[in-house]
Amino acid sequence: MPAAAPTPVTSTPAPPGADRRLLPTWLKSALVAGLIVFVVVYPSLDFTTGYRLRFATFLAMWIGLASSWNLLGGYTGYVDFGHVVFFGLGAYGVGMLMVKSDFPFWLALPAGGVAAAAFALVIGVPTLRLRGPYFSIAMLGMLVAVREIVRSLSSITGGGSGLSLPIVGAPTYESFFYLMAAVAGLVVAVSAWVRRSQFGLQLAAIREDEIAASMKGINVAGVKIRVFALSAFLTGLLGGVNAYWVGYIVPQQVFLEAYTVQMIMMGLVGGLGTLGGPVLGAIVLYWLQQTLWANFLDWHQLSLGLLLIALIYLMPQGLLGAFGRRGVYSVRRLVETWVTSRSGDDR
Amino acid sequence: MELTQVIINGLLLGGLYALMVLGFSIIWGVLGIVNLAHGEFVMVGALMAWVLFNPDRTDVNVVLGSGEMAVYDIVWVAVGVAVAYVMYQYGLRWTRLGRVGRGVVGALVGTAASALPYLALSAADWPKIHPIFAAPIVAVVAFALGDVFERGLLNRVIEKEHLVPLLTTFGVAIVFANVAQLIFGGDPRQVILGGRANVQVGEIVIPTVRLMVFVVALVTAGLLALWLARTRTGRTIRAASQHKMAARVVGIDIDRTYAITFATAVALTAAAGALISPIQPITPAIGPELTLKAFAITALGGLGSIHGAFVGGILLGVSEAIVGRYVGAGWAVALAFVVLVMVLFTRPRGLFGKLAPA
Repeated sequence: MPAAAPTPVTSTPAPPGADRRLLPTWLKSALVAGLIVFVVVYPSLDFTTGYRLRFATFLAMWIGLASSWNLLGGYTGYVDFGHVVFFGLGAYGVGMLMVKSDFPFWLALPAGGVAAAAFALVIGVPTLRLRGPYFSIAMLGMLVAVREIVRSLSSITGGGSGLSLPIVGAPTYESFFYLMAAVAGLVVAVSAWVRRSQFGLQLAAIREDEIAASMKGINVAGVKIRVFALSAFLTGLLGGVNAYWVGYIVPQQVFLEAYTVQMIMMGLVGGLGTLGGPVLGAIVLYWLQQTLWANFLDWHQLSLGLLLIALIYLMPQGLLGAFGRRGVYSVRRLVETWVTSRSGDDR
Repeated sequence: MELTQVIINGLLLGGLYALMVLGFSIIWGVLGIVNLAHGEFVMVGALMAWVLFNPDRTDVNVVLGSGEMAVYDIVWVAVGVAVAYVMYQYGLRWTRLGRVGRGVVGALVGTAASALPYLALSAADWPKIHPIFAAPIVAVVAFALGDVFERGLLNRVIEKEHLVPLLTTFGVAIVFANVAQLIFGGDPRQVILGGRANVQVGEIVIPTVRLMVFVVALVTAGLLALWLARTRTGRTIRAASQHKMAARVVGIDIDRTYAITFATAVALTAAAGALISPIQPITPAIGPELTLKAFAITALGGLGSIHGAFVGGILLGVSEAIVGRYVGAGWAVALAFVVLVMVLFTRPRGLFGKLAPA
C-alpha cells in the first residue's frame, strides 16, 4: 500500500492565486460560521428565561452534530445511520467516569470523546469495508446492539433506569451554553480545516470514486478510518457536554435513532458536503421544528416527513445549492427539477 | 422438553418473520432499494385488518371538515379506489378498452366492491372479517398504494445515489407512522380471535394462530416462487434484476416492471401485516423495529431469495427464542445485529443470494 503521507497543509505548495491572504482560509470560514451563529443566536438569548437559553444551547448542539455527521456523510459519502452511537458513548463515557470514578468534568469530557473515537477505530475496521446502504444499515444495527448492551450491563451503566450525573459543582446553564457553543465552534473549525486540507481532498476523492482514489495512491482504508474516528470524537464531545447539561442519561434517550435522522436532515436542508450547509440547515430546521412543535403538536412529525420528501425532490442540493452562488431559485427551476427527475437512461 | 418447546416457538416466529420479510427482500433484490418504509407497510396492513375485524367499534373516527367518518368506512372507500386504480393500470386488457374506458369500468367495479357490505347488510350485521380473509382485501389496497408510490416518487430517484431513495422511503415511513398515529392514537391494537387457542402435542403447546400463519407463509412463498419462475411478468422481473440495461434492450418496460414488483411486494407485506394482527399488538410506532429485523434477515438469507428469507427468518427466530429464554430479552435484540454485522463482514451476499440489482 503506497503510503499517503499526511503531509502538513502548510508545506503543500499553494495553488497560484491562493496565497497572500490576510488569514488562512479555514480560519476565515470558521470566523464567518462563528459570526453566523453569533448573529442568529445572540439576539435570541434572554438569560432571564430558561426556554431561550435552552433553545440556544440545543441549537449549538445541533450545529455541532450536523457538522460532525457531515464530515463522514457529506465529505466522504459514507451515510451513517447510527452516528448517534458516538453521541451516546460520549455521554456514557462522561457519565460513568464522573459517577463511578469521580473524575472532574474537564477530564471526563475529553475522555468521553476519546472513548467514542476508540470505539470508532474498532468497529470501523469491519464496517467501513461495506459500502452504500450496507454501511448505513450495519451502523444502524450497531447502534441498536450497543444500546441494548448498555441497557443490559446495568451494574456499570445503570441499565434502563439511567445514570444521574453529580449536580454539586455543575456550572450554570449559561456556562453550558458557552461550552456547547465552543464545542460546536470546534466542530465547524475542524470541518473548515478538513475541507481545505489534503486530507479533505482525499475524502472527496473517496466520495467521488473510491477505486480510482485507491489507484491514485490514497490509503483509502486509513483515510476513512481517520475521518470516522475524528467525527466520532467530535460527536462524543457533544454527547458528553449534553450529558452533564441534562444531568441524567438513559440509553433510549442518548442512543436515539431520531437524533441521527435529525443530523442527516439538517445537512440535507443546508447542503451536504459543504461547510456552511449543516450550520445553516441546523439553524433553519431546528427553528422550524420548534415553531411547528409549539403550534401544531400533532402534526409536526408528519410535516417533517413531508418536508424531507419535498426537499429530496425539489432541492436535492439543499439551501446552499438552491440559493447559493448559482443565482436565484425560481419556481420554474423547481418545476423543471420535478419534471426532469423522472427515471432516465442508465448513468 | 423445554428446549424443544423453545425451538418450536422460535420456528413459528421464524415463519412469521419470513412472511414479513419477503416483500423487503424482493424490493431490494430487484430495485436495489432498501425500503425503510417496510415496517410501516406491515403496520398499515395490520391496522386495516384490525379495522375490518372490528366494524362496530366507533372509537376510531377521522374528522373531515365539519363531519366525522368511521375508519371502517374509509377502508371500504380505499378498497373501491384501489380496485378502480388497479383496473385502470393493469386490468381488463382483454376488453380492448383504452385506459379511460378501463378506468370507468374499474370505478364501477370499485364502487360496487366498496358498497357491497353496505347494500347487503344493515350496519349491525357487518361481518367481523377474519384476518385470513382480510389479507387479500388489504393486499389489493396495498398493491394500489405501492404502485402509486413507486410511479409517483421512487421511480424518479431510483437512479440517483443511494442516499436519495433511502431518504425518500424514510420520509414516507415518517408520514405513514404519523398519519396512523393521528388516526389510531398510540394504543396497541390486536385482533382478538375466539375459539381454540392451542394445539397440544404431548407436552408441547402450539398456538393455533401461529401455526396457521406459518402454513400461510409457506403457501405464499411457494406461490411467489412459482409466479417469479413461470409467468411472463415473473420473467421480466428476474430479467430486470439481472441486468437492467440488457432487459431494456430486449424490450422490457423497466418502469412498469419496477412498479409491478414494488406493488406486489408491498401487497405481500401488508397482507403479512394483516396475518400478524392476531399475534402481535401493533402500534403506529412499531415500523422501524420491523424494518430493522427485515434488513437483518434479508442480509442473512440473501437478497431476493425466497428460501433465503425462510432460512434467515427461521435462524433469527430460533436464535432469538433461545437467547431470549436463556440469556435475556435485551440480548436477543442485540444478537440480531451482531449476526447481521458478522454476516455482512464475512459473506456480504448472504447465505443464498439470488435476485440482485445490476
